[in-house]
Amino acid sequence: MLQRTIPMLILSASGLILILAYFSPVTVVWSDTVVGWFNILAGVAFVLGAGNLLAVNLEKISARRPGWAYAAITLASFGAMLVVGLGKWGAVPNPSFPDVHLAGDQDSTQSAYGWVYEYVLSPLTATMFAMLAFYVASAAFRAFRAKNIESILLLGTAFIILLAQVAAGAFLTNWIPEDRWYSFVRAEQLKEIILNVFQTSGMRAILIGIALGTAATSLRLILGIDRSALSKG
Amino acid sequence: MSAPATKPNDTLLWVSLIVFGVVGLSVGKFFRPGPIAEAYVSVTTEVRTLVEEVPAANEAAAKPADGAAAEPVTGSTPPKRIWVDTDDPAIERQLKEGTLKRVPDVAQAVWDVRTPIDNAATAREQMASLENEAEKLSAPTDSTGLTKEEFDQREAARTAALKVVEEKRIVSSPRDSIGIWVGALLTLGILSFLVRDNPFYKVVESILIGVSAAYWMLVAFWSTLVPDLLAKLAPDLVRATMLPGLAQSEDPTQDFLLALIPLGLAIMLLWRLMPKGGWIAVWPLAVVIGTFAGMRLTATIEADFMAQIAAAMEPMAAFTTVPPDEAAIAAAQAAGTAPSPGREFNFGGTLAAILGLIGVVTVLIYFFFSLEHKGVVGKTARVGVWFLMITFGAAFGLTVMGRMTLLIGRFEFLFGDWLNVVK
Repeated sequence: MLQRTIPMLILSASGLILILAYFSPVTVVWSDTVVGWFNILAGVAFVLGAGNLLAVNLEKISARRPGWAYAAITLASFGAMLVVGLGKWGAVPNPSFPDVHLAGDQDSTQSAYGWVYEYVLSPLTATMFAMLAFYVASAAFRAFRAKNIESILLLGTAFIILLAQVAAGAFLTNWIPEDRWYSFVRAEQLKEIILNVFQTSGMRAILIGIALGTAATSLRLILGIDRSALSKG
Repeated sequence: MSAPATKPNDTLLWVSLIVFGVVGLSVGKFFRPGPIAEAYVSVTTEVRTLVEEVPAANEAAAKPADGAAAEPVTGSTPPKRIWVDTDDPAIERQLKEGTLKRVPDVAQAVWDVRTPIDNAATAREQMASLENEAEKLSAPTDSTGLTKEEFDQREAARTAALKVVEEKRIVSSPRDSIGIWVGALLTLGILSFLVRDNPFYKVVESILIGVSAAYWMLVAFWSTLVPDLLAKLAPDLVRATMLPGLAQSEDPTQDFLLALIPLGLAIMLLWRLMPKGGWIAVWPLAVVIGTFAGMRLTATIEADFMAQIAAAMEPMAAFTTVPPDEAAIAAAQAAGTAPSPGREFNFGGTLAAILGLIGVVTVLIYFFFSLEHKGVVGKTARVGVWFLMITFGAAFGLTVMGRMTLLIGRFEFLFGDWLNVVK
């Protein structure tokens, strides 16, 4: 009862309130309240995640497991960022309330939090994502083989898109006159055709499929047909 | 017996990298326009003074009319106090008129606002320009033939202009220079993984995990938990310490009682960290899943399903608007009306519309697994797969280019902001 039935009823009620609010303005207030709770719980989920990070790393340090020093660095950086962010160290005072320190703004590099964001978090995340350029290129080089018509289409499209975005595309195809019927072979026009005609229609069908899948899954959850989401306590 | 695999010499690799770096930096020094990691900020000083509104109504009530006895002002609220910029002409006028007055014994709040300047060369140019301007304004000028009034006016204008120039301060920022060094070293730490997994990368990776976990927690705390939960549970405390501009609620008791529900759910969610009773966290999870399912159901049906179908409903034959021909102009002139533009069949647009429809239908048929993909259905689905391959190829190309852009950004940071080798 406490572990299965009540959570199922809560799930159904929250979902139905949101659906009802779409059709009836009377229930909009209820849905706003539920969405407010959802936002709070989503915020608390980050606290839960941080708590989990603490628990895992503290256990690693106390057991002196291999790589425990890295766990200590993780905890130190976590703690440092948390302290400066909660205490708003160096925050620019709020012009309307300069006497209330915690009302200050800490988005600029003047504050410790903004400094860490600008010079630590931002370069790290950008470089992490930039590294994918190497791995994607390497994986493509290893895996892409023009064996059949499907792989030729994939490979050829990717090649045209990449070519059209760099100077080589213009260099190779700019000699083709723009006012002729065959001008579509120019790299930039081929790219436009691929993106506006083929990719748009493909993505449109994928999105329609995703929407149907999302709606079906949501209904299965709200109506209690699919209870797997609440199966683990 | 096979020969043992040769292990690359790590020491040699690291020594080579360090030597390469040191030589590169030394050579670069000759071509560099300025020092490494040069950073400047423009500094503005903000001054705020605490003033209070003069309760004009109370004063009027306290002054008895026609000799009547003065009635004591009962239940009067204390005058509203605000921090203002006294250089603001509107505030200056109110202070002169007496509707506002300075609160005695409260010091002015003074602080600097430092705005980083992206390009060091631009900052240097701005500094030089400000210095020139200040020098010009402070230089003695010829005042022969001027009346005292004209002289005073000119000096007042010059002093005001000099004050404006002097207030625009551009200074070197060691704090940001250190930041650039830190960012560069961390960037190199991540990039070092391209050689192989190494302790430098692992340290940087650990920093990234810790900082990003704290960052997202702080974002959630300041943007959601404080205004949506704490402000309702303890509005006075939050107003005094974190959100002084928090509006007064119409019904604080109701807000408080309603906020107890998400508070309870939040505690239940955090219960997951406890060794026992993890099932308690299922209740708040049910709220999260139910709400998300309800939101997505309506949102995807409206924004994706309906909108995409509507967008696919295009006319099959495309036409282009062209200027009216001579016959149309002559006919319009005869009728005394404005000539209407003509229409021309657009072959490319028509082909694009037909291909677009074929793409949507065939891909949808490919995704329709209730029918066996044989015969006509199979062939149609095959065309759908071709469209999908082109879609994925384009997505792949765009993704690679996006990552390349990020990589170029990192190299610009390393060679521009940090090493100052490129502009």
